[in-house]
Amino acid sequence: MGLLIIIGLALVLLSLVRRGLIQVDLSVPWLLALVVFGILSLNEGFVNWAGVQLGILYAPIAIIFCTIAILLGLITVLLMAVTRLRFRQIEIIRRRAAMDLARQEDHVRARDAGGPAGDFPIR
Amino acid sequence: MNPLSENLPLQEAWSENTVTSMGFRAGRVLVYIPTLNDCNLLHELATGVRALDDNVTVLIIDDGSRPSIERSTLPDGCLLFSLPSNAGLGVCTHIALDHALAHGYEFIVRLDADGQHPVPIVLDLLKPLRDGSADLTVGIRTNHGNHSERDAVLRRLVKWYFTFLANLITAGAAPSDVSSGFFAANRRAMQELNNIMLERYPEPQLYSHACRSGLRVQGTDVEQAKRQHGRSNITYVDALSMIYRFTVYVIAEILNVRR
Repeated sequence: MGLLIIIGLALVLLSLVRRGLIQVDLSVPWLLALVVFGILSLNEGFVNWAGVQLGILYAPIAIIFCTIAILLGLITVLLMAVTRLRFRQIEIIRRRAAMDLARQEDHVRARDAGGPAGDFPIR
Repeated sequence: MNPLSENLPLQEAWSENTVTSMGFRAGRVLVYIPTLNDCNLLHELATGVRALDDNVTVLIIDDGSRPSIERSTLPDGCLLFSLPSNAGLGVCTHIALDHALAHGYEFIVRLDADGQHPVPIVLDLLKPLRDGSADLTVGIRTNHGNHSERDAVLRRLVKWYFTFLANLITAGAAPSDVSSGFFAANRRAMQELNNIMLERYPEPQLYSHACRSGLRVQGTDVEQAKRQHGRSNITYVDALSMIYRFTVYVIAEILNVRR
């Protein structure tokens, strides 16, 4: 069951990356955490050891895990927001480049054609 | 032996190749050179490329160099765009593709700024595009420049891994060097490649996508020259990042196909 949950989460993550909702760069720590903690959580000895170390042997602690789950959800949403911002930033850069280079292209063509080229559009 | 494998000045090395006998025919060509803090050879490279034919325009894309590249250091007639900060090769490639498509260039060629891509080979890359036998040609590296033995082994391993994955999702149609940055494309390929969001190190993604989109991809053997200035910007961490990105891309593509 645990393994299925891990595989399911990995597929969700890959699906978000595939759809462009999370940028590949930003998915690296997410996937690493999933793999490392996923493998560790399958080891009962490790889970018991960690529980003892952290003193998590009390049932109401489940509330904390629910809170953590919500936080993870929030982080995922933030990742998607940052990804959208990055894509928009790239779009702005591309438009800016297109305008700047179009002016330079016109200048070069006008000069090659022997016409007045005007001031060279240096940024 | 190819003179470019020796540590010769670029112009001297190029003069021993057959540039003049194979000059361009009709069709405008945009040669773009992305660079990050690698500007010592730009003037020489741009001059060499422009000497191939009048039909070629050179576009330098400064990917956030510090200090940024001055126009006065480039030959007259070169186009230059300086990114305010480092955005990666994917964005640089999109900028070049946008410009080539918007201004009627028939072909686009990418050249590295470190002088490792022999300029005369540009003509070899363009030949299959001009005769209509290919949409995209890739310079297949037959040597590993001046890297140390350890680096060369690592590069071969990474190259093998990329090629293995690329062949996996292209049914063996991928070129044998999918991490080569030396390529040429016609307008059909430009339009197809500009439809996807290219990553920071886009080469494996670019060639795999080209093959999967039905573009005709060909390889041309290239003996790359030794790096004459500076050092590679790609660190071991970057290499791991490239492996991760392409692995995720391939897994996502496989899942997409089987969905």
